[in-house]
Amino acid sequence: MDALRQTLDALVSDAPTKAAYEALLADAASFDAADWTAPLPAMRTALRALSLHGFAEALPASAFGTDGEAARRLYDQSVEAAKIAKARLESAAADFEPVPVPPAAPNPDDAARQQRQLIDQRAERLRSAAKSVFGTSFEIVPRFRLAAEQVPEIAACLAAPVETDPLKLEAWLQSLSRVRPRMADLALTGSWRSLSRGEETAYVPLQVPRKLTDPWIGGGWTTPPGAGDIVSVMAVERPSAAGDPIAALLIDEFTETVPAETETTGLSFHYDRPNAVAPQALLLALPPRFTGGWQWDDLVATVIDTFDRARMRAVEPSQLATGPLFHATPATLVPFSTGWLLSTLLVANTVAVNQS
Amino acid sequence: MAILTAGSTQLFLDTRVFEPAIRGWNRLEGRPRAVEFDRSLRAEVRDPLWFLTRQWQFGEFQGEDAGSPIDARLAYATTKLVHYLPRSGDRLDFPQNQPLEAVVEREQAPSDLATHRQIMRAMRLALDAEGLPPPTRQVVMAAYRTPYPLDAARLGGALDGETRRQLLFEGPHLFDGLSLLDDIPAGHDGKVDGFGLSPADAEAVKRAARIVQTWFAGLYSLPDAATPSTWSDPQVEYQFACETAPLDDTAETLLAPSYAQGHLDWYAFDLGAAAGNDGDSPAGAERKALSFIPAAISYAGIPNPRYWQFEDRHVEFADITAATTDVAKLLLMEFALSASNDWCVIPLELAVNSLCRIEGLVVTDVFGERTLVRAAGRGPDSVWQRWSMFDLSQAAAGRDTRTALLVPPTTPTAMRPPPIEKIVLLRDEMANMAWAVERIVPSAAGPGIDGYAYADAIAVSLPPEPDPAPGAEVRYRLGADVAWNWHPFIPVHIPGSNRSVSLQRARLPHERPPQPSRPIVGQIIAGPTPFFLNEEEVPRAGRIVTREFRRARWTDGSVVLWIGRRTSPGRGEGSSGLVFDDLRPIRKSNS
Repeated sequence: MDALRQTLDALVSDAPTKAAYEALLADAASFDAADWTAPLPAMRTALRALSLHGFAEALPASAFGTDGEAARRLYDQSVEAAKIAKARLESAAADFEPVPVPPAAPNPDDAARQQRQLIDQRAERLRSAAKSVFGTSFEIVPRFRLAAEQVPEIAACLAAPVETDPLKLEAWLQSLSRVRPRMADLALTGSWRSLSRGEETAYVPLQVPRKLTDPWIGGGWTTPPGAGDIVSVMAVERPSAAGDPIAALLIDEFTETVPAETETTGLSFHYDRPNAVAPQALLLALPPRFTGGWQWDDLVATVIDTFDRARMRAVEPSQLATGPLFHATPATLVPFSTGWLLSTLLVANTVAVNQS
Repeated sequence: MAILTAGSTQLFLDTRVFEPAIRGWNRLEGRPRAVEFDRSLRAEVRDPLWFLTRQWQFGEFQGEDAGSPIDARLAYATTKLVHYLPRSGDRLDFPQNQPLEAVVEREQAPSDLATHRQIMRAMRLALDAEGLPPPTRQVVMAAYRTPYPLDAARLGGALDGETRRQLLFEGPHLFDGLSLLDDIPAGHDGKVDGFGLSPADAEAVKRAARIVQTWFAGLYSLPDAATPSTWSDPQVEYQFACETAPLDDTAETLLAPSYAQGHLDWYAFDLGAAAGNDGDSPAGAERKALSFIPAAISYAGIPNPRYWQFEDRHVEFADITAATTDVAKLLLMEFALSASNDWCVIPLELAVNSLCRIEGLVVTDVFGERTLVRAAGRGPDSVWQRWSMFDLSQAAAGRDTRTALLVPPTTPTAMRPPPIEKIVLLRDEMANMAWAVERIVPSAAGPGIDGYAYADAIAVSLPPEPDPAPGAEVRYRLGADVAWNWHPFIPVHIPGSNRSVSLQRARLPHERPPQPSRPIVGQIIAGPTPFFLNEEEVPRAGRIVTREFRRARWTDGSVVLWIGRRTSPGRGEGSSGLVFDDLRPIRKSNS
């Protein structure tokens, strides 16, 4: 693309052509076909080549014209196309810069995750670069490889698919095509492919975790699969080998629940149970008399006394106000006087002196 | 002091500083109680005695005349649904191998391109499976188009642009699969003999056709041709009933008089009159006993019954916002905050498709006392103080409640694609009538398409208004037209009543034959003439009726695909813009 852009640039900045164009702008009658015999086809070729890069604006504005109007339009278009191509390439250039690689994480798991993120990031940037160059509807499908530990399981799934009856697979697809619009597209594509080319699409169900005893979960079964979640992937074309690089499109994904044969319901009833609960404290007690053993009455009295104390713990000063012990309860006493501060102090001193 | 005279001394002593004063004492003491509750609710910890004090204050040491339950014996009886009664009242065997929704709702497979394509695909694969070589297979597929041609008239639904595009490509390959399958018991084999195949190949084709028949019957859940539909057009809902196997010589009838919510569960059913034992019912009833240790009820957000215990993060008393008029909320709060530890729960595993009745529950407490616990909702069904949950209502008045839990064989989740048909029933007070608007119509290709766009495409417009005569000030119109997906319903008297009305499907005056009339593309309002709709089914808010495919899995993993309908409330009234005898001024142009 850059080469095409340079070609266009060279064509439009070629001195005789430029001069002819400017003359043409100034005076349309000054058109001389001889000036344009070489540049016009060259511009057309370059523009047409550029248009193949998903660049609809570059489709030559005049396909065969050799008059002044055609020359002017093609020249204008070439200038514009070169400009746009340059802008597109520049906006993509940033995405081609290598992704800065952070220092590897010490933990192997973290390092692996970091590596995956890096790959994703790189793929994402390449896709974005392709979109900037070729237009937003341009999609790159990146190729990937299965992780080494997944390869044996997938290879086994491919070697002996869990379901091979084409009618059952078709029933699965056709039944889904009624409820999932994307599956409807897939079914239609498969059907039309068969009609137009006579080729059948090879659907291969891959089911993990792979257990030989499990039936395919896409349809009915006689022996139920083991408990737990099962993932079934329908490969629309059989991959050549599990370890090879593959490119894939995700068409649709959904979760299905198979109802159980029994349901757990609940029966609740009211029963007035006592609300008393165990005390929230340990009672560490000593016998009042050390006689070598506890007396039952002592034990009972200790417990009763403890609960009495627990009740007393809740007594508030105001509840003692009328009792004789009121004065002994802890408090802060602050004097006040009807007179001035000094008089109170003097009197206080007097009292103090008198008392001493 | 010498300089102080007696007079000045007197003056000095007279200053207020030396005036006698009365002295008192302020006593400052700690008061543990406050008007605000927040400190108290923090349940601050102090000395060990304080733990006991708080417990005592909250009544946790209060002895009660009660014992903790330690043992419970439960006797219950379950019975199965064994009969299924569609609207006509025929007693059919209860279908076991699919969800009840599918049995109630299912309709015939639509005759659209998708269906015919599916049959063609299956036929191709079945012919392969029967070992027909590809050239012979192509001959057969082509030959089927002669006895079973598929033309646009055979397709149901709207012929929109997408359908036409598909027909353009596929039309020459498709044959009328539905007619072929219908014809298998009758003339199909004879037609295959006419294909000019070798006898062995002809036999293989006949076998393949039967394979396709089985395959198609497994693909869709299709109603029996003899079984009448459960859908009631005037009531816009499904109506059916089920009968249980007799328990103690009485079979229960479960009525579902108005089901259209799209999800079938116990609340769709009412208990009807008890049916007698007709003698031929298969045994489905059994009695069981269960012994268990009662466990206190627990649920997310339940407060702990003890004071000194950390609540989990789901409990937030500050988040209770109930006004004094929120009686239901207050009741629930009261239950959760103060009575939740008096409730016990036991898990009871019931088979799907069962009606369970508790025969008795005896609870033994730690003192060996036995208590018979009876149903809270017992007594005559009409008593308004009766309170129960998850219980079936009585359809017949005057009967005692039979508390029973129904676990119907229905699907918990069904895949719901965009609907293939959507009708909005609405009132038009301006025109004093009701309308059924085809918002989404099924296309002949399969999926639903915008009803307005399709109506615009097929509408035959009224002749254009003539230019007004010079100097005319008003224009008089006999009537206005309405979008072609609006179908009128007019109120008519119900015979024998002088006040009640019913809504009848009608036609606009200018559609009188031979004028073209607006076609009803879908099926919801396409019933035979006269087509009535009960007036109460078109409330002021309107009503939306949708028809859609549903796909669910059943207990053996099998796939069930069917077409069902459901209704939901509409979004208010509409105005069709229909007017008659319309006189309006002609706007003067500025020129």
